[in-house]
Amino acid sequence: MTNSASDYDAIALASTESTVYYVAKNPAVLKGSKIRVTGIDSKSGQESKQYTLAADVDYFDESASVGVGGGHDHPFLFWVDSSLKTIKVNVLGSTKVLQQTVDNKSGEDIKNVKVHTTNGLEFLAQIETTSKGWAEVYNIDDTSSTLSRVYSVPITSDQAVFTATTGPSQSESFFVRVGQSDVTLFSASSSKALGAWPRENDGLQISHAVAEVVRSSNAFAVRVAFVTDSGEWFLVRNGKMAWYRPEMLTDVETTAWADVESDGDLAQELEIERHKSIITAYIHRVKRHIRELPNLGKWLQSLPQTILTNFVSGPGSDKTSLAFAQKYVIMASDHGLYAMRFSTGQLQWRTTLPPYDRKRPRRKSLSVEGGQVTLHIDGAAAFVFDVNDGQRIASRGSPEFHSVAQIPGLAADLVPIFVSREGQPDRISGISMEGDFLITQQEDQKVIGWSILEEPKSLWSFTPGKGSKIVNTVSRPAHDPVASIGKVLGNRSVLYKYLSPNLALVTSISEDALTVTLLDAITGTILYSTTHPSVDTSSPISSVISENWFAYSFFGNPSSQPSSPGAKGHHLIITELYESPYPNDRGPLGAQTNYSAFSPSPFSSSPPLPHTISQAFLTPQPISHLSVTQTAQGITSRLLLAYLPHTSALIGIPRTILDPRRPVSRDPTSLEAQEEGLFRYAPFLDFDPKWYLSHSREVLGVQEVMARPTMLESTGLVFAWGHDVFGTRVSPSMAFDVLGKGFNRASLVATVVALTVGVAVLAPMVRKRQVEGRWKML
Amino acid sequence: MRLFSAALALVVAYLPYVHSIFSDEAYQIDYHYALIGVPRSHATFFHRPQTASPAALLYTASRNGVVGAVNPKDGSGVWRQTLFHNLTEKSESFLAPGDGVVVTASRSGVTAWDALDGRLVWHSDETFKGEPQNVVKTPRDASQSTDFVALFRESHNVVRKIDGKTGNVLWKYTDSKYTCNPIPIS
Repeated sequence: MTNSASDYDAIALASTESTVYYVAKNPAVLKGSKIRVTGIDSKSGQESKQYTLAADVDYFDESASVGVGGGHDHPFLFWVDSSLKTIKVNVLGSTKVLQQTVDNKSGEDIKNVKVHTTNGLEFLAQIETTSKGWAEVYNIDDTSSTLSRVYSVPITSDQAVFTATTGPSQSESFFVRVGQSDVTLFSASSSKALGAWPRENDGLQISHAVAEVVRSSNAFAVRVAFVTDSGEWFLVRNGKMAWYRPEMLTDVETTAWADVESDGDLAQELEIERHKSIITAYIHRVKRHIRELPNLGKWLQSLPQTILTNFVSGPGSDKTSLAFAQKYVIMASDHGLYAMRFSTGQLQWRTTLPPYDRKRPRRKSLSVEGGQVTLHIDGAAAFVFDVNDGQRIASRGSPEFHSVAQIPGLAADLVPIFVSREGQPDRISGISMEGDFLITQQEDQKVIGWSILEEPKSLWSFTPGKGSKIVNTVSRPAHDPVASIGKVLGNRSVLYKYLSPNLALVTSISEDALTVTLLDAITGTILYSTTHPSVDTSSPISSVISENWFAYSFFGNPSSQPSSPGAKGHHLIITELYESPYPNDRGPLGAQTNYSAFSPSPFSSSPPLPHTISQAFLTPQPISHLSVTQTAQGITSRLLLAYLPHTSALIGIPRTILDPRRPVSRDPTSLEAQEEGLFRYAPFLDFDPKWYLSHSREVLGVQEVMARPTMLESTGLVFAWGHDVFGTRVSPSMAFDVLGKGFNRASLVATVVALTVGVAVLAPMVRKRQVEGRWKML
Repeated sequence: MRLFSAALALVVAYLPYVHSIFSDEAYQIDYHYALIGVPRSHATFFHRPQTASPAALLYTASRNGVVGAVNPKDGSGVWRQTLFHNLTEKSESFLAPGDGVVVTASRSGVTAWDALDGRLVWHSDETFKGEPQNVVKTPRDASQSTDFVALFRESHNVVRKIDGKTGNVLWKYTDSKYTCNPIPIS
C-alpha cells in the first residue's frame, strides 16, 4: 500500500486477516503527544487490544509524516519525529518501537522527510534539505524486531521525487526515483540501480508520483505518472514522455478572451501606411514589396499546395478557421496562467505565477488589452504578461478588491476600477465620459449606482424587500449590437423595441418567492418588477439580458393547496420590452428630439416604462447558467445558451422558439405564421436534440459559458469552463456567408475554362461568317 | 398561386426548427477536455481491473469529487464518475482498490465502482455524516470475501466494516474516548 499521509492529521487505518487497526494521534498541545493504536476484531467489531506509544510529533507540523505500510500481512506504523532526524516504526500488534536515525551527510538541515511504503517490510524515506535530496531504504525484520538501513541513494542537488511500488509478482518491492533529468529503478535490497533512463529536463516541479514496474526477461520497464506542483499530470515511460493531461484546468477561477496578432509586423506596417499621405504610403508599400521579393520563390512553390487544398475538401482545409484563428482564451487559477488557442483547443502556453502571499484564498481578475494580459490578485499583486507567449512583463502591487470593473479610459483603453466587498469603487483618474456610470452590488444586500468621474458618488441604491437577498445582477453584454430597432409585424407595422444600454436585471429571493426587477442603471428607476411565489430557492436560478429581452429560470414549487398559484416544475420565463403596446407608436418619447435619463420628458420625471410581453415555459431540466450567443453585427438570430447540470449538457435554444408573442389558446393567423414565424403556444418546452451543442458529451461542472463574435457574421464562438472545458462554434442561421464544404470549386473552374476555350475557338469562326455575310449582301 | 402559397407556408413552418450545427461537423469543430481534477497522492494508483490479465489502469480521485480511470498507454479517459452533486464545493475523497472494483469514500458515503467500466456496484446506505479519513481493503478471509473498512470523522472517529459484495455495514466501532477537534484546513 503506498500511503504517504503527510497531507492530513495522522489518523491511519490498516487491516490484517483477523484485526483492523485504527491509529489515532492524541492532539496534545504540549510536547509529548501520544499515538494510540486500537485493534478491532475483524469479525465482531469489538475492541481486542489497545496500546499507546509516546511520540514526539507536533500535531500541526505539516512536515510530519505518519502512515502505514506493509500490506495485509504485516502492517506497520511509521512516523518521523519533529526534529526530522529519527524514523520510528511500530509493527502493529506489538508494542515495541523501532527507530533509526537519518544519516545526514549533506551538511544542511533536513527540511522534509516523506516515507513511501509497499506491501512488503521495506520502505524508502525521501529526504530533502534546502538544496539537496537523497533517500534511504530501510528494512524491518519482524522476527528479530529490528529496523536496519539497507542502503542510501546518493545525495544529489536536483531534488528528486521517489515512489515505491510492488512488482508484477506482488512480492517484490521496487523504488523509483524521478529526477530532473533521469528515471532510476532500485530494488529493495541493493543500491545498484536496476535500470536508468534519461529524461528530458523540462524544469517541472514534481509534487508526487506513482509507478508501475514490468519485468520482461532480463530488463525492466517503468511507467511513472507524476503530478507537478502546478497541477499537471504526466506519464513517463522509460524516461520518454508518453502523455500529458491538463488537470489544472479544473481549478480555473477566471477567464478572458484575447485576440493575438500572429503577424504583428504586418499589422504595424499597415498601421503606418494608414496614417501617411497617399504618395508616402504608396512609396512605403512599394518598398515593402521589394523587401519581400526574395520570398517570391518560396511563395510560388507553396502555390500548388494551396490551390490543391482548396479543391480537395479534407479535414485540414477548414477555411473558416481563418476568421477566428487568432482568438485565445486566457485562464487563471491559483497555480498559473494558461492560454488556449480557441480554434484547435490546444494549450498555447502556460506559465506559473511568481510567488505571492497565499495565506488566504484571493480573488483574481483578468483583463486583456493591447497584447498584454493583466492578472490582478486581490490584495497581493498585479502581474502583466505578454499575450503571445506568456512572458512576464511587469509586476506591481494590487489593492484589495472583491471584483474589478473595466471602464473606458481617456486614451481609448480600459481602466480597472477596484470594487470592494461593500460595493465601493476605488477613486481613480483617467476615465472618459463614457465610463462615468457604474453599478456595483454590495454582497447580497443591495445594488448601488455610482458616478465615478471625479470621485465616486453614490447616486442611488436599490434594496430588495425585507428578508430578501440578491441572487444575481446582470446587465447587457459589452458587445450587444442590435440589427433592427423594431419588430416588423405581419401587417407591415412595426413594434418599436425598448433599447436602452443602461439596464440592470436584479433577481432576489425571499423565503420562497423570487422577485425579478429591471432597473434603469442611471437613475435607479424600477422599470419592471414581478414576483413569483412558491419558488424552490435551493434549485439554481439563472438570468440573462440582451437587446430588448431578458430570460430567467427557476424551479416553481407551489404547495398542493388549490389557492396556491403556479405550476410545479422548472420554469423558463422570457420577457420582451417594447416602447409602446401599439405598433407604429414610439410611446411617450415619440415627439421628443432629445432625451436625458434624469429629465426624460417635460410631462414626467421618471423614464418611460417599457411595455413588457412575457411568456413562461416549463423545461424538463433545471438550468444553472444562461448566456447568449454573439455575432459581429447582431444580424444573425441569437441562441439562448443554457447549461443543464443534471445531464451535463450545453444547449442553445433558438430565440424564435422563445418568442413571447406566440398566440395562446388559438392557432396563429396566416399573417402571423408566415411573416413573423409564430406558432401556437405550448407550455412545455421540450429540448430538441438538435439544440444540444455538446452532443453526447458529458460536460461536467460548468461555471460559465462565454460567447464571442467572429469576423464572420454567421458564426459565433462558445466556450464553457468550470470543471470540464468545452469549446465550439455556432451558426444559428446556418452559415450564410461562407461557401459550404459541398461547393464544387473544380466544376466551377472547369466551366469557366470550358467557356473560355469555347469562346476562343468560336470567335474567329463567327467573325469570319460576319465578314463573309457582309460581302454576300453586296 | 394556391400551390405556391401552400409550399411557402410549408417552408416557413419549418423555419422555427433551425439547426445551428451541421451533423458532419460534430466532433470536428468542437473540443472537450474531460478532466478528473488534480490527482491526490493518497488516491492515485495503478490497479489491474481483471486479475487474469496484466493490463493495469491508472485510477485517481480529486478534490472536485470526480473519480476516474485513465488508460496509461495514451492518457485517454476510460471512465469517470462524480461523487457529489455540487462540484464547486471541494472536499477530500479516498480511493481503495478491490477485486474488480474501486471503492471511494467521500462526503456522500462509500461507493463501489466497477474497475473496468465505472458502473456503480453498490452504494452504502447508512448515512455517513462528516468527512472521510480513509478507506482500506481487508484481506481475503476464510469465507473468500474481501470487505472494506472505512474511517470517517464525525463527532467521534468511526470505523465501519462494509461488506465487499453488497455494501451493507457489518459493524461500526466508535472511538468514544476522544471527541474530534476540527482539523485546521489549510
